[in-house]
Amino acid sequence: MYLLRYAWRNTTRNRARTLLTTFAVVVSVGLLMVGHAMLTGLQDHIVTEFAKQTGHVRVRHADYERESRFEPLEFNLHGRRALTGGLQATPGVVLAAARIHFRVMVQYTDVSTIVPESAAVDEDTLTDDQIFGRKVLEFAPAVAFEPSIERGLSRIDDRLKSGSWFTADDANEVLLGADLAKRLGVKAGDDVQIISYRKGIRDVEAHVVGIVDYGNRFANRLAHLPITVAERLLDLHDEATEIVLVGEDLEEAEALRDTLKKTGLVDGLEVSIWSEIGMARLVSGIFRVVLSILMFMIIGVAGINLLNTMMMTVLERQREIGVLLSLGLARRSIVKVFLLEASAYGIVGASLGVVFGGAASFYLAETGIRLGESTTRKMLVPVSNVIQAVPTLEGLVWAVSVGLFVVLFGAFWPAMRASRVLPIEAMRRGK
Amino acid sequence: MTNRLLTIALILSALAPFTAVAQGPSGPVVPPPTAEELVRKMDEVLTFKTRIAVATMTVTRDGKSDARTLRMQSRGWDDSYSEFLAPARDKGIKYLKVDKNLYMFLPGTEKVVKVSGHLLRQSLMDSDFSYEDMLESRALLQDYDAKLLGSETVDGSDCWVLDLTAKQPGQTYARRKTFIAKATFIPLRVERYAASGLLLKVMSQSEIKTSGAKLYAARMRMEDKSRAGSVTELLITDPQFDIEVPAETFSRRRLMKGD
Repeated sequence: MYLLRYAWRNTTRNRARTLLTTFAVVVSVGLLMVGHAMLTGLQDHIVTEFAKQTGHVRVRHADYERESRFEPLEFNLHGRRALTGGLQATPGVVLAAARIHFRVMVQYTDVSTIVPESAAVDEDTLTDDQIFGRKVLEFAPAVAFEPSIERGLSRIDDRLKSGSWFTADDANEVLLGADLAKRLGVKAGDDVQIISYRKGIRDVEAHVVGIVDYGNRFANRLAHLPITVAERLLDLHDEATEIVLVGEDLEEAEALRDTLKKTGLVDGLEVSIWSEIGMARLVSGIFRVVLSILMFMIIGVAGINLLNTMMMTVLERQREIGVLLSLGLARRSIVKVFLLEASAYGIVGASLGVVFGGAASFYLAETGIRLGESTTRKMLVPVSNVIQAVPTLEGLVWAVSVGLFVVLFGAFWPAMRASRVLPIEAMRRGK
Repeated sequence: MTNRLLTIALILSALAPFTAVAQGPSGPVVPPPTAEELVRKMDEVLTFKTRIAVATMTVTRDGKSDARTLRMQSRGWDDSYSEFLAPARDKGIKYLKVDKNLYMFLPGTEKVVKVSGHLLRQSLMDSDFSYEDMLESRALLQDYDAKLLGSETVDGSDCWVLDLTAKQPGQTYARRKTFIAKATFIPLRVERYAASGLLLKVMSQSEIKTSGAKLYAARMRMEDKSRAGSVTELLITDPQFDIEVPAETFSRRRLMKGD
């Protein structure tokens, strides 16, 4: 007990240094809590958005992934309707949605520039715009789906900038990404020509039913079509590139996959859970790396500060340490004194850090942090401009643990060094 | 120019690839003294005023074949009009090439698409031909430096080997190696290379036949080396040369109306 009193008294000898050290711990723990909460929030948001694309479980042809960058239609799933129905009926499946990924050209024709034949103007004097109309042609990735089902999965309608959702599952309608619509110069209500150039050339006239703004330059280049229209364009019959499944809980995706495999419906097909699919793996890896970098930066700053403080303390008390050792105080007790002193900094600093860090985390959970459109537009998945923090108990425990570890680590070496000095030497140095 | 004329004549010329020759197959063969003269000779052989023919374009990929029938009408090398007749899913698709511009009429929407920009790099009806191949200029000597490399045999025919190197960067093919039959001046094989030296496409022609006074290659084969296991063959049947083709055939307005 006397060691504790002695250690506590030491903290009051140099109040400025004590305050500075404690402040370093407060900032470290606070920053760790806020950083963890923000990164968790960002990860949760990206995973949620990503799961809208992949579902909890995704079923594809076994050879599709190998050629996926070419979006190969020859590796489609056949018997789409029966397979989707069977999967939908599987216990644990909340929703099963079929999709076709392909590429199209979208052309808009402004007919106002056409000079009618009745004007009797020599064709050789007319420009293409005057004969065919002014045309704007854009290449675009397309995703086709059953609108009534997809609406419940990807919630694309939440991102409608103008217009509305599809009026029917088989309507000749298209939802255009905001950037694609801008480049074409079209708005909701216009008509465009959708041209497929795979397996020959085919086209359909489609009504632009809505414009979607994902806030992301990749997604904003997309064209969304009903799957029946895509089948006509691509000369496909009852096929799909993939079927994505949503279960009751994202965390139970593995169990859902096991259930699906037992049905025999997916034999010979590739069945992936969301966390195994490219971006999810990447996000998870980035999260761990960023968290590690954050931790080491804070440990570095706080640790050096603590190390410096404790080193100063030991050097200032050389004579005192020599006297204590001469009076018979065990070397182990000398170490304990310094560790207790550091623990005091740690406990007080960590407590205040939890208070301030917690307050900041909950504040950011309400207001969020605006990442800026220039940042989110470049991400591979649509991400909101504002990311909300998600404070967790795990984050609190992690921050406090790291904070205390840094304090004790910073104090341990100076304490060991102090305890190993010979009493007479310590007293001589301390003069 | 040699390779090109042949290549162009058959391959591109907007779906109207044939080979027409002004000489008899057994005519005297005098090796041209220079590469330029060889190119010009090939040009002469391929020249015609008009041409009408039906062709079958068969794309074979991964062991599966897909055949399409088209009718082609050409006026010289610059203007052509082609219409797909079969299968039903492609029936009514039309291509018009005039003044170095290419347009396609799509019956689904009865609208015209001008083939330009990135679209030029796409394949023609999922074949090994690209739209750029259809638009290649006939004036090879304007764009390429020609060099005679020597002689080689292609499918049993003695050929001049002509090396054409692009004068300026930006050409679709930086280099062409053309094998011109000494007997007919028809290019039997054209290898097209990228600037890196990568072989991009190989066009070959066979079944040399006559129609009236003209020689033509009835079978053309194109391999896109970037698509493994893919080959497109164009088989020309019953071509007619230098007969009257109405001028309105090559009218943009007519194309827009889908006539």
